[in-house]
Amino acid sequence: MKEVVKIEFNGEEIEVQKGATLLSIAREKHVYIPTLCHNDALEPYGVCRMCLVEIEDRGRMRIVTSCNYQAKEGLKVKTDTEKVVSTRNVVIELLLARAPENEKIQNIAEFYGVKGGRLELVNDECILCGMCVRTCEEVVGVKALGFANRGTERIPATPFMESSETCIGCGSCVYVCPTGYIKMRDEGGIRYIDNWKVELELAKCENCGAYIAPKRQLDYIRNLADLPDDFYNLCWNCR
Amino acid sequence: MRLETPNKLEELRKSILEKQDPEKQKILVCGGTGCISNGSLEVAKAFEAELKSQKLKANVEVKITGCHGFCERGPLVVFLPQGIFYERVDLKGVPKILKETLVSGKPHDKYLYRMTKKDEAITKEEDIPFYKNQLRWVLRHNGKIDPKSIDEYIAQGGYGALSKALNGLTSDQIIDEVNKAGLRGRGGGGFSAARKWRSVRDADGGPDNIRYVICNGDEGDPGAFMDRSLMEGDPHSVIEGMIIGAYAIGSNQGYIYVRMEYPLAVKHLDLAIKSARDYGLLGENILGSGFSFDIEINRGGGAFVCGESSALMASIMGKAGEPRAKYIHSSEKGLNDLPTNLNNVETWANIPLIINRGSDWFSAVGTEKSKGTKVFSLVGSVNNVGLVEVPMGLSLRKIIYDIGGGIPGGRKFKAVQTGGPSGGCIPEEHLDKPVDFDELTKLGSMMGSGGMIVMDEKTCMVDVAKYFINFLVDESCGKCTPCREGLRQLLVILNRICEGNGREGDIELLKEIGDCMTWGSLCALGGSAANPVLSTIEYFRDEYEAHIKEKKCPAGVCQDLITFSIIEDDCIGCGRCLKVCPSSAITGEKKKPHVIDEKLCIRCRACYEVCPTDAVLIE
Amino acid sequence: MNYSEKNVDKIVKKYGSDASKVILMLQDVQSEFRYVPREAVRKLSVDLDIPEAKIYHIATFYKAFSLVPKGEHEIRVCLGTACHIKGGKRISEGFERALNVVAGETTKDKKFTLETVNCLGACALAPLVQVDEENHSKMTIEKIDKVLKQYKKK
Repeated sequence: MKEVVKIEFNGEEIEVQKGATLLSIAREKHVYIPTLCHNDALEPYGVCRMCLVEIEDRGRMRIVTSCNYQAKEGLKVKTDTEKVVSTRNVVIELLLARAPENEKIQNIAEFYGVKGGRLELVNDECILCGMCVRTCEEVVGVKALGFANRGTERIPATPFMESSETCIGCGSCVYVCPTGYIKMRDEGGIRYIDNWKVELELAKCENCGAYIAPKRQLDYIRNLADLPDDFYNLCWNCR
Repeated sequence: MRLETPNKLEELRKSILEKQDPEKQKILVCGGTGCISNGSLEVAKAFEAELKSQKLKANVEVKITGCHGFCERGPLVVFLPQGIFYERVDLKGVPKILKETLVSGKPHDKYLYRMTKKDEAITKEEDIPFYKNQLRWVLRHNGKIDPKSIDEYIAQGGYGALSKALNGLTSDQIIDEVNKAGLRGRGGGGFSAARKWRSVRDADGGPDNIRYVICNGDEGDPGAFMDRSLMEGDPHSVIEGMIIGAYAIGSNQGYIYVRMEYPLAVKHLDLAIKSARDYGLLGENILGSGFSFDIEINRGGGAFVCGESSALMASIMGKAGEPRAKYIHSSEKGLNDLPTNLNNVETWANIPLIINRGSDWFSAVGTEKSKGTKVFSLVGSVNNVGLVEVPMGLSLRKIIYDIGGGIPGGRKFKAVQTGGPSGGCIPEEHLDKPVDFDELTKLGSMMGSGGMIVMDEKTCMVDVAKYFINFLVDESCGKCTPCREGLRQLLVILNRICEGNGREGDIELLKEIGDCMTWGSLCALGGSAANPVLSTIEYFRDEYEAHIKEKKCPAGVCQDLITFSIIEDDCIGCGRCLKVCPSSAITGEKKKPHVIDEKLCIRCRACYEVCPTDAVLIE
Repeated sequence: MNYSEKNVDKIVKKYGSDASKVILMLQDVQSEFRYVPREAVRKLSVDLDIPEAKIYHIATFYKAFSLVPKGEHEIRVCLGTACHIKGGKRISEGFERALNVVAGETTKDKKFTLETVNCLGACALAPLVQVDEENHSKMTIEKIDKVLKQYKKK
């Protein structure tokens, strides 16, 4: 469906695909919009509220998240109005108070000239972007993670905060986490993901003895994919 | 017994009315939650027992009805056909009330309504100021019928509007009528009901052409119990409204979402749905029209955020009540990603009225843009706490003073809070403003679902703001940064201020965080969460400054900023305060003035509450 | 009430094994066992094909559910706006002192669970305290001990 609509973007009239997100349009135009909970491989989530822009739709002005707002005919978009700036700056301050050590947030703060210090420090590494949960569900398909509680008690968690019985130790959550909150290490033939209290035995390469991946992960892939048997017995180098 | 045609319904109605004797002696006992808590069910049982023993049983019916509204004076009992209104009926009074009213034929004076003990008694409900100034349309059946009986509802004309709609009105005609009536959502949004219906009807229902209608009975605003009284006291009015709406919209499946804290409402709605099904008023081919519709009840799980429409729908779908971005409206993609029409309980209850009496009649009442009536729960520092229904456009002053009876204890009015945690506080200077959707929004508050909380001089407005933020911190779903982190930081600052650690710049910081929440939040909970703070700063800035600059709480509420002492001259040395003090801070001999040790005092107010001579001073 | 898989089965069947009704099922589970047992979540996950993590989210998101057994008597202090203005918070603190718990906790002898709730809808009776199904209206600090005595006997 290649339907095209006309919108106004930062004062310029352009034609875009109907339903394209404002964030994707901005990126094509090389206009910088910061994001923390966005990943092209995942469904837009719209919770960090960093990607705010101002729109005018049928005469009505709103501040919306560009990652999931879809373009429609006659829309007017402005990425850095006073309202956007003042709202976004406070969001940055709130995040600085939550995760003051986080580099990504510090960089965004520096870019916009936002200084912390006015608010009480929360000191939580996790910024609740949800990428770990969403990746495990949408990309990996294991669904070992979810959220627990609500409000300021909200955390990504395994059922009953116990060792996950379904986690395959693939490490996707670690890879995708923007703050380093999720920690993983391989030691003595075991993969540890402490946040999920996971301890999984790593499979060894039959040829060189290097560790490939957790046995549970290989089992999971074995069930899904149609690959030659020795795929699971050898490491990258020996294959 | 299914009613196959509209005629069969009318025949049934006739036969019920024929069996009813308008002159029959009835004793109506209020079964609203307030009165039940005060023992009204025991009073009803006592009446039954007393009727037997006084040998008056024959031809007297004791009936438990829905909330009469005048909760302050409960348990309420009304004798019909005499129309005698009794207040504060206790078990002691039952025998005499019966004897005098039924045998001697005159009202039993002791339990008649009096404004104050010194005033003259008023016998009839319609003469009581609380009721006289109301316009009870939506609450027309509350207090008059047994909510568990569909026959009584039918006898009052119930399901006549449904019959009219199914028997000859088209969808366009029904929606036009609702549009001309000017009905706006009673849940807080104030959105045009007709416009919503139309957009749901015209939206794409997918390959199976499915649409849903939902009734939002999640009434989470603290201090609001309008919807509860409707669902408990007149469930059929809501159901009838939903069937008519579903017919106009083209929906065959409806849901009523009731918060779990309302088990009686669930019970009465359940009974009502079952009896409606028995008569074929729900189910297949209603009244022979070819239209089929049924309703399912869904209980909430204890989450204020589920009053938000997308969170409510997530809950019905079996998920955590997290709202979603509403860039695509629920009218297009709601429940199960299909067009969904959600309306509040009170909105639905207005529909049979509009269809029966017509849009001209309905829109004759109200202001230019807010038509009809609104039910409010009038609570707090007001003499007549209860459920009131008034025409839109009545002034706040009339509601609080003429109907509410003013402020008790001779205290001064300070503010009235409307709209629950999404609303704001309105000070005295605006008391003459008319109550309608747009007017209240202009004042920095909102209509909300109808909670109206009156506050007097002993209420600290900073404490009120702190109270609402505390409430919302608990109820935020936690998904988005501005709401979750914003509420957290607002509470930190407000706590500091109330503890005496307020700083220069705190008010501006509160406003900045508030603005970010208003513009940047994902849903309306976060989007309106800052209102209590912003509106109290707007109208009561001096109180904030007293807390911050002088470390004082002018209203005498914030525990860390007040001291308790005993006025020596007023103290009679009874020792009640000493006994009740949890930190043993009070010393004194019998009949001699007592003293509070400030260092031990934890400011719990126990002594203040028990002192018979008001000798405890808070400053 | 001890956990019984058969009873959970009954609950699942009552709602037609419909996954969208999992919240209603959990409410029945909570009502039956006075909390949501770990095994119940496991069973519901298998029977309804819902990831356990999602059911855990529901069980921790909604106030209706508790993961630890509740006490014999549930004390609910209303902190709705009207009750707050009439001193509801002091009443709640009074109960905390009397029972030696913090709101949300259960006493060591498992006799009482103390909770604060948002508006029970009986604002004319503020401040209101609900113990199990019974309402205690116009509560004062003085009355707290009397009310507790009433239930300690039972």
